[in-house]
Amino acid sequence: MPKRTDIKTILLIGSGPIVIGQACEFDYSGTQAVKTLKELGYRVVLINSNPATIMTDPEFADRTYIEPIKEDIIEKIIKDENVDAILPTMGGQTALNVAMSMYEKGMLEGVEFLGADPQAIKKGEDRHLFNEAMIKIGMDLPKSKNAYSVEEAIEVAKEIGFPVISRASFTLAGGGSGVAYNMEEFEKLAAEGISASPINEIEIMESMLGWKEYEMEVIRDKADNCIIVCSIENFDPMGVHTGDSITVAPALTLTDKEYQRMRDASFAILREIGVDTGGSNVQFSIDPKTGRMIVIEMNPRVSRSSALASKATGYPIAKVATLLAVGFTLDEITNDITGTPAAFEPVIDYIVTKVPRFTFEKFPEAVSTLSTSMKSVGEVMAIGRTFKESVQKALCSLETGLCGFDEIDADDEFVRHEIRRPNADRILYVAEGFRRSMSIKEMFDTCQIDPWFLYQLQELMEKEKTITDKILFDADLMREVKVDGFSDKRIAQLIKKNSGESVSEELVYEARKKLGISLEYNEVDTCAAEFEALTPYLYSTTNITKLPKTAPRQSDKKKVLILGGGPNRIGQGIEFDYCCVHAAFALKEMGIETIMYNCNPETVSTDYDTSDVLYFEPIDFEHVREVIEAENPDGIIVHFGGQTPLKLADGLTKIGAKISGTPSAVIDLAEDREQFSDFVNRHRLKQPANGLARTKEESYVIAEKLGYPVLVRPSFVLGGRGMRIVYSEAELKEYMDLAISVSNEAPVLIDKFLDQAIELDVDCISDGEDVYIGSVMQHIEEAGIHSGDSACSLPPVNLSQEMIEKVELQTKTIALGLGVRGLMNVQYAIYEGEIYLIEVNPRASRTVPFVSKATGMPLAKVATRVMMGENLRDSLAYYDKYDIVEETNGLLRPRLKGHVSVKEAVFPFHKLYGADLVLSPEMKSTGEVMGISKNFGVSFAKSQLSAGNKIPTGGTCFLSFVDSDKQHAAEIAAGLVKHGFKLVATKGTQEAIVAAGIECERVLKISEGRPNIEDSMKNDEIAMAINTSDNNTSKKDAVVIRQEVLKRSIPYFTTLSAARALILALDEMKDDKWSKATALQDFLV
Amino acid sequence: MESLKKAWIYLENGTFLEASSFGANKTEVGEIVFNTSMTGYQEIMSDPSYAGQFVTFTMPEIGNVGVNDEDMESLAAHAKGMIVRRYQKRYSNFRAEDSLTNFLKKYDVMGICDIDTRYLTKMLRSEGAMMMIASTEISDKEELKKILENSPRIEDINYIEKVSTKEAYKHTSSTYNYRAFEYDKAPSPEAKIVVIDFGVKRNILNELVNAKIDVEVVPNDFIAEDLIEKYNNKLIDGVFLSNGPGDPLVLKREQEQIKKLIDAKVPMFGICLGHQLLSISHGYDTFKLKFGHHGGNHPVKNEKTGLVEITAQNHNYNVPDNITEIAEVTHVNLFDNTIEGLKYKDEPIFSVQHHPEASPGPKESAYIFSEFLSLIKR
Repeated sequence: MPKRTDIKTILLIGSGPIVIGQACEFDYSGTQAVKTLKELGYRVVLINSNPATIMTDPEFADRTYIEPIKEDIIEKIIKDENVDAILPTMGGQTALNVAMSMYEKGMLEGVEFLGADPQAIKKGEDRHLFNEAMIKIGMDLPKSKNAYSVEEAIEVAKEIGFPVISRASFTLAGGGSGVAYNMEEFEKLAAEGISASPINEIEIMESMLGWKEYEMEVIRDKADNCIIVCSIENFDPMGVHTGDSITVAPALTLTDKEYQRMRDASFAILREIGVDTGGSNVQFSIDPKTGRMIVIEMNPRVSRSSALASKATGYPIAKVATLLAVGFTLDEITNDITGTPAAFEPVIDYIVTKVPRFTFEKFPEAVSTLSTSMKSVGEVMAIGRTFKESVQKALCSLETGLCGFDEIDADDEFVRHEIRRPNADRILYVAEGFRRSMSIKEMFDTCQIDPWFLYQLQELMEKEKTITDKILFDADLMREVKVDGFSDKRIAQLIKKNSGESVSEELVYEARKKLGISLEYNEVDTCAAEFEALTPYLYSTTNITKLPKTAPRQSDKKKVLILGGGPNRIGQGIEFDYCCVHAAFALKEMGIETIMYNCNPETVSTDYDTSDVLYFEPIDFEHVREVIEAENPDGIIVHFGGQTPLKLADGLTKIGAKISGTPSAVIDLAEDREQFSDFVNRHRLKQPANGLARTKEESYVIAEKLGYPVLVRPSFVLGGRGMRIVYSEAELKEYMDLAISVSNEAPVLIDKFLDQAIELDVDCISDGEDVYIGSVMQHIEEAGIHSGDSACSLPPVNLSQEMIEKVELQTKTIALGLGVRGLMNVQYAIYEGEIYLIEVNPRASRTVPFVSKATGMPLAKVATRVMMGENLRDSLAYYDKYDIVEETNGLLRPRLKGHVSVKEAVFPFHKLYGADLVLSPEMKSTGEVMGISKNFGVSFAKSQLSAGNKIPTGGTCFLSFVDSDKQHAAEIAAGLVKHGFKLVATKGTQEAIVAAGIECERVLKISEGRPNIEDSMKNDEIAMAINTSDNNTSKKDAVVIRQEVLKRSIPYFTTLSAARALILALDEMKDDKWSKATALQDFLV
Repeated sequence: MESLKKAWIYLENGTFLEASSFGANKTEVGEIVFNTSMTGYQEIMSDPSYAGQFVTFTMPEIGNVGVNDEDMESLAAHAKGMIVRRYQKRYSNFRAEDSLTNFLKKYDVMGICDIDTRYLTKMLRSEGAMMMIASTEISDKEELKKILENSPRIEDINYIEKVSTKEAYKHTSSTYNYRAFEYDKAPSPEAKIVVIDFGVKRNILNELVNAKIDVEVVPNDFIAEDLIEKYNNKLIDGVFLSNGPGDPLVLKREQEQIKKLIDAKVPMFGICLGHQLLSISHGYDTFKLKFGHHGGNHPVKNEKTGLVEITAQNHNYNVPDNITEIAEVTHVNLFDNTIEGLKYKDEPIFSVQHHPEASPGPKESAYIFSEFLSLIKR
């Protein structure tokens, strides 16, 4: 049956900001959905608070609401836009939850659910209903029973058998729950659990720790055609969240009988749950000893795994699911890759490995043991002809400095410990264990990873030993080693290790080429080469067989290679993928063939639809270089994918590759401290006074000279890692002793810290003659907090026009002075009326998508045209859809249309147990949201709501300011009292407030006795907290308060300026008019 | 790790490649085809339909789950050999009993690995199935070429005689129970048939038994008159024509016998080779597909229900389109629109080209065995 004609307007709900557990995979699925629905002629209304997404580009949906994904707002949109149906299955758990909650409250009368109906969603999501449904169709579930006394619990535990899991009901953050391996342990756990549970109930469950884990990606249409798109096997056994597990596709350790059993079960589950038009994911666990198969859960929506399955097979699950949702059946849909029907099951002739990317280094206090709640912030996928090749490519893709299974420098005991403990680097420890001759049995007993995977790692470690300088002249050995996926760099390391001879990666590369061994490219074609692939989606491999050279792909068009950003992590996320996708779109519009290059399966950039050719490869020098040799592109864009591709610019330039836009010499200049200082002086600009210390003693002298506070950081890391503001010599000593080892090779940078300065972010584009100021943004948090973690306002809230113009002119001077061709981002600090230059990045910045949405000028697209040699004015004119470009004083800038856009950062503190909620020069946010309205207060309020920091309009507000902020306590207190808040504060703060004649109760600090602030929070007496902090005062108290705030989702503000913004927001929140939703298109027109 | 013995293959289009051997050490000539199934290498290698062929697996990692006694589709491995990208000697599966190497050696079948199977697959896709020779003894291209040229082609060999049972026997086990990990006991039968064994897969027999049919298996040199007499005396209710290896056009004797069964209105059901023989016996000769259908992911549309079944496939020959003159098309392959199932007009006969018994492959077409019971139950 063709598409439905009884519905006209469809509302698509996005997933909001990037958080742990919901990354850009939902931009990928949502973008596919919007595109598909538009092509079918539906009117599409979209809501998503995340401005860094492709789907929120104003030209995608008919109506785009960058608004908080909240029930009342959605309700208004549905009414205003005459929505007939909603598609809630493309926006992760966020979309599903809000849709279900609205449905249950009766807010969706007359609005049809597409994709999965509410009953099905409920059955899939509600643990109890799901279990019932599974029992009905004869599926095996983990044995479990509730108990209400220790005696009862003991009986249950005996019945189930050890190990068992005991879970206390209705407790926060898993209190009173755990695994017990023996009765003694269990009795203790059960007693704890029963007392922790408010209803004295514990659930005792069979433990499946160490079992094998699988996922099936399933599609079903309304006619009841079912297919499996992909099977996925977890490398890590049960006990680690599948998002945190290394996974492979296809499943590798199942016979056909076991595979078909799982396939049949998946279909039976979809049918019973009632998912009848779309994609779902079903998870199973198998006991490795008996083969018993247990259903773990199912997700009645597209997921992170379905994005992975789509990229792993080439089968676009979200697109197909969308078509099914509006009435098509599978046999009516064509597989774009082969031109055959989509009603089939993809087969693959390669092995896909996904490795999650963690950022524990940013949260040293967080518990780094992996468990059942997800902690990774991103992932990479690699494709190889064998698991060995695939897994080594994945490690190279991670961007953690690995070039394969790098050695680990630790004693045997620690290695064993880390093999046993699920952790981010466990696979490296397993390899290290084999390197130290652990046996398969020992290894399996320690980690329970399936022996098949262990065999592979053991063999790789054996192979390592054969790599000596002989390999440089031995074609057979070189091929054998490359076939197993060893990178040139790793080979160089191993030659050094095994032969003692120092060789460079370059030398290995040259030797390899002389021996006639190059990477070759295979298609991801959904069909294991049974049919010809129409879309070139490629991965590299070293062929086991030396074959006659195939003719390179022919094209008469000019072609440009775009290097993507790699895995999502803190500091480099979806914003850069957005820029790369925009580059592809812009190039397409210029008639240039686009070649996309990336290794992140969650992204829109790695959709085969986005560019003409797609390479799914590690973003390292070896793999990029091979693609350049194969494609010989006319240009390479390295500036849009963040630091990852940017740092390859130099090397690529040296081998004669054609970098488009800003040349690598300019990139180097901006990053080289001394060269850049010269540049600053030459152009009479200002930088905070600074110095470089090569010894501890030197650092004290420099700091003394600059005057405290100072900003210190190691010179060798980027992205604010290890950066700290230091207020005294004592603190500096502590930092130098503990945090860092300083040396000649690794000096420490010391900057004068501009306390309480206003920080600005400027994005601009230059073609070498003209400069377009994309925007000037004012940070809401003062200097000293990483720009990525700071909220910001566009336009600035309290900066004079004169100052803004000065900043703009300086930006022009820098862009022209450096010779930028394309995008540039500059950060400034305004301190005592002077403009200081903090940082210049001649590349796309994290704020490009935000600025593009806020102003209506797609900066990355304009920059792409400029980088291709077109002049800036023409490029702007090409994209000036909303007529915003204006020129004054020789400067091009956007005409702002009276709306204020606020960007707020979103943090993962509550997902990383133990992590401390405190902002610093080191970036910690995973994502961002945008609030847009006619005034700052409302935009700020919306941004807070979207970020999950719901501002209350009454109740008790807790205040605690550090000494330097106490002078402003009265101002904030007055603002709160005006809006009816009751105030409580700690001693010093309370005194300051009362002294100003404002009523405020004192509350005890934790160290001062009880009842104290912790008790008040636990008793739900605190509606909001304002707690400014630095690194050295009342540390212990502050940490406890912050943990409590996190646990109870109490809205909190940690800086004075955020508190001021809060007061402005409260001014606007008097009535509910503020929450009116307006489409982005209406702001821009 | 011990290193593997070398092996060489030569294809009739002149392709010569060096590889490694993980199976029997010998020299063999056969037809090369590719199979895209990602699971079930043991079932495929023990499927008698592959007699005379080298099977190239597109699944790049093979050997992972070892072999076991339960997953045999016949008493031995009948293919000439298997060609895989990478062979993994050490296996891991809770049902595994032995390695694939030992299995191949036991049945004297070649195992060729360390070869680019994607390259071979693409070649077969564009040039079609072809003859080849593999050897662990001869490395000289010219010598291999000479042997290949002097060997009979697959069409010239009657593999059915090699794989069919020599003695009639009763089949009693039913389908596999995925929870108990054993074969179920037979339910009490409601009809009785004779299965003509051209190289029957064990799971076809299991599915027939599971459909409540009593099964007696007879050799390929059956005499039609005996069966007709049994049918007329109600000793049997129908005849099943099995799958099997090779070109159906060369099986003249079998065609004649089947023609007699058709004329006697004996109810019949055929799968794969059985399906092809029914077509030929009706006067509609099969044709050879370019590279055949071998895999577990082909979409087949059931014209009656309108539903798509994902099917197991293994055939190089197909019935012609003009058979619609005498039969109704019940199933169509959505990849290339070839005929996958037929119901003969005014005759108690139907047949399918794909493999509803799966093993390996998806099981959703298994309903067809019950349809056979409905046809023959009197």
